[in-house]
Amino acid sequence: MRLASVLLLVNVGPALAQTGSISGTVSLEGPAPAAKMLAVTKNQEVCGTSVRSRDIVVTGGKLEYAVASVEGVKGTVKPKSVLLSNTKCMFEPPYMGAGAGDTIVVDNQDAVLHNTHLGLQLGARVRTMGNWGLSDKGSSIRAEGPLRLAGNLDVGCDAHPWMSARITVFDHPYFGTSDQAGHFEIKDVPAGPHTVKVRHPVLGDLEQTVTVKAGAATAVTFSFPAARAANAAKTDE
Amino acid sequence: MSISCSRRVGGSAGRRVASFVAATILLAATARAQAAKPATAPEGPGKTLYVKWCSGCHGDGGAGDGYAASYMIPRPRDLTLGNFYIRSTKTGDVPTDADLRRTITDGFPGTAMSGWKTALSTAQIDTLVQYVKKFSPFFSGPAPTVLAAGPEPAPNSEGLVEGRRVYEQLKCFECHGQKGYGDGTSVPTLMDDQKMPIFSADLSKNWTFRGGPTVADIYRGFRTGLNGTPMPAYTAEANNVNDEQLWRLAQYVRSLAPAAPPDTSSMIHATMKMDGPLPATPDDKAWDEVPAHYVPLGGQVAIKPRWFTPSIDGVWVQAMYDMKKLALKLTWHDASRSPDTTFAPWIKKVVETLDHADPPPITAQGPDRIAITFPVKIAADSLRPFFLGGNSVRSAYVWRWSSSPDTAEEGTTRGLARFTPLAAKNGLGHSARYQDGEWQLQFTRALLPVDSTTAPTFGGDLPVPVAFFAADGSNGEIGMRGSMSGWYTIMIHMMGATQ
Repeated sequence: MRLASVLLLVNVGPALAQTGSISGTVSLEGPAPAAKMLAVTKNQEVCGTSVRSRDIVVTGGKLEYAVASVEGVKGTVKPKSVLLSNTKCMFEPPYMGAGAGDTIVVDNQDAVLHNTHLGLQLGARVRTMGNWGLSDKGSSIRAEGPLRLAGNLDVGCDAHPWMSARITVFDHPYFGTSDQAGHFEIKDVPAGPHTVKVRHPVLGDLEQTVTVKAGAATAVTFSFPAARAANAAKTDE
Repeated sequence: MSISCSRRVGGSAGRRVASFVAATILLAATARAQAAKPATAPEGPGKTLYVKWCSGCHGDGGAGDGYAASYMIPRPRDLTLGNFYIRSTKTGDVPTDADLRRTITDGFPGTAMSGWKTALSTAQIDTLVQYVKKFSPFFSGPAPTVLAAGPEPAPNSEGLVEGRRVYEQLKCFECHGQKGYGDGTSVPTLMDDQKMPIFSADLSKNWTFRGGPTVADIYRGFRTGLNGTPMPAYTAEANNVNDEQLWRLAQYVRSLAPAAPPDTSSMIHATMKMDGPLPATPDDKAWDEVPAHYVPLGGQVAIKPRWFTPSIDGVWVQAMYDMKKLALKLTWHDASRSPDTTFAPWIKKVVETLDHADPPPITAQGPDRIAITFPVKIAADSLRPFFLGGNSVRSAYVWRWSSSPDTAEEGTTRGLARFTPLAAKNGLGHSARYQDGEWQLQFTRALLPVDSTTAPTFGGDLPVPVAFFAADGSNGEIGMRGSMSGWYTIMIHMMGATQ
C-alpha cells in the first residue's frame, strides 16, 4: 500500500497536483484580409479553375490555424496520430502542431494524383522526410518516421504547386492549434510562469508571459496587428 | 523506329562528349574556386580520398557546394542532409551502406557523378562509404527500414498490358508523359528540395536512370521514391495495387527503352530507297525500315555563352537516299514545344538558379532549334571545320531549323552564330512534327548542289561528316546555348551509280 502511494506520487501525483491549463484565443486585428485566389494550372476538372488560399483563415476576427506552445519546458510526448488531408486540391489543415514521434496519416479525398512531400527545414536547406504518391481518391498512408524530429516541416504537392501546408513538430506535449473560434488549449502545463509563443506561417510569431496556476485554466489572448497581414500581402506582390 | 544496338552509350562518342563537358565544368569552376567558402572536412579515414576526389563537387564540408557545384542542375548531394536519391529504404530514410557503395561505384549516368570503380579500389570505396556518413547526424538516427520486395513475375505480353494499366492508374504520366518521354503536365513546376528545377526521367532512356537500368532498379525506384526530388514512393497499400502489379509496372517501364543501350559509334549508315520517292514527312512509314542511330549530346561549353545544363541529351538520326536526294530524320525528346507559356515557371527557375551563367542574360524563351554542320567540301584530304558551324579560319555549311516560326534554311557559317543564307539555294526541304514530348524533323536536299563551291556534294565515295546542335527554347537555350555532338559520319553507298 505504501509502495503504491509512492508510485502514485512519483508517476502521476505531481503532474495532477501541480499543473494547470492554458486556454488561449488568437485574433487578427482589423478587417479580415481578402483571401487570395490561387490559379489552378492542372486537373481543373477536379480542382476547378482557382482555389481560395487558406494561408490566413479568419472568422469574426478570430484566427484559425495558429500554433501555440509553451517555450522552454521539457516534457514527454505521448505519441498519437495526426491527420493531413488532400481535399479539394488543398491541404487540411494548412498548419498544425504535432509531437515528435507522432504518426502521420495522409489521405487523398480527391479523384486526382496528389503526392504529399514533407520537407524538414534545416537552416536554409530542406530535407525530404517522406514523399508519397496518393494516386486516387481513398488513397492513404500512415508513417511513423517523418515527425520524429522537432522543427518545421514544409508540406507540398509536386503535382499541384499551389498546395502548401506546414507542420511544426515539438519535442514536448505543450502545444495546441487554434480552431475556427481562434481558441487553443494546452493541458497539463507545469504551474509557474511561462512564455507562450503563437506561430503563424504568414503572420509570424507573438509571445507573452503567463503564470499557470495549479488546477486552473489560465486565459490568454493574442492579437496579431493588422499590419502583419498587410505586410504579408505586400511581400506576396 | 528500329534501333540497332550493340554498344553502350558512353562507349565512344558519348564518353567523349561527356568527359569533355566534365573537364570543362572543372576548368570553368576553377576560376570560382577562390570564392568558395572555407569549410572543413571531418577527420577520419577517408578524408584524404574525399578531399581529393569528392570535395570539388560536394564541398569540403559536404554541403554540396564545391567549386563545381553551381554549374550543375540539380546540384551535387548535400551530404549533411543524409538525403539520397537511390536507396533500398523507405521514403525519408537514409540509405544503407550497400546503397551508398553502389552509388559511389556506379555513379549516376548522365550526370557529373561518375562511377568511381575505374578510379578507386573496392577498399577505398568502402572507406568513403563510412566517411560520407560522418557528414550527417541522420546516419546516427534510427536504422533505415529496408523495403521488402516480392519476387518478380516472369515477363510476358499480358504483363506489359497490365503494367501499362498500372502506369495509368498510378498516373505516372502526370510527370513522365503518356509515352514516358518526360513531358508530363507537371513538368514546368517540378523542383527538388532546394527549389531548383528538375526534369522528370525520360523513361525511354533507361541508360540514364540514376538508380540503374534494370526492371529491379525501376521497381525499387518507385517503391522507395527518390528523396529530395518530386518522385514519391508508391506503396501498394496506399494505391490499391499489389506487389505483382508494381513489378508489372516496372516491366512496362523497362519496355519503353530499347532492349540494349544504343550504338553510339560515329558511323550513321544511310539506307537506299529502292522503290518510290523519298518520304516527305518524318512520320512516313518508310522511316520505320531505316536504322536509327543514337547521337548523345552534351552541353555546349566550347564557346561563350556556354551552357552546362542542357535539356536535350541525345538525338536519334536516320538517313535515307535515292539517286537524287538525301533525307535526314532527327528524333529527340523535349518536354516543351517552345516557346510554351506553361513553361514560364520553369525558365524563371532556371534563370534564378544559374546566377553566374555567361552573359547575355536570358530574358525570354526562344524557339526549339536544330543546327546540322557539314564541311563545305567533302574530300579525302579535307580538313573538317570546327564542329559548331566552323569558325573564322574555315567556314562550314549548315542546315538550321527553328520551331517558331517553323522554318529551315541552309547557309554558310563562321560559327553557328554567324550565319549567311546561301545565295545559290539547293531547295532544302523540311517537315517537323511535335507530339507527346517528341520532335521529329526531316530535312531533304539534292545530292548535287547548285554551286559546289558553297555546299557539299552528298553521295560521293566519301562518308559525309556531320555534327549536331540542339536547343530547347523553354530551358533558356537561346543563341549558342544548347547541346552539341562532335563529328559523326554518314555512310552513303551509291553502288557506283552517280560517280
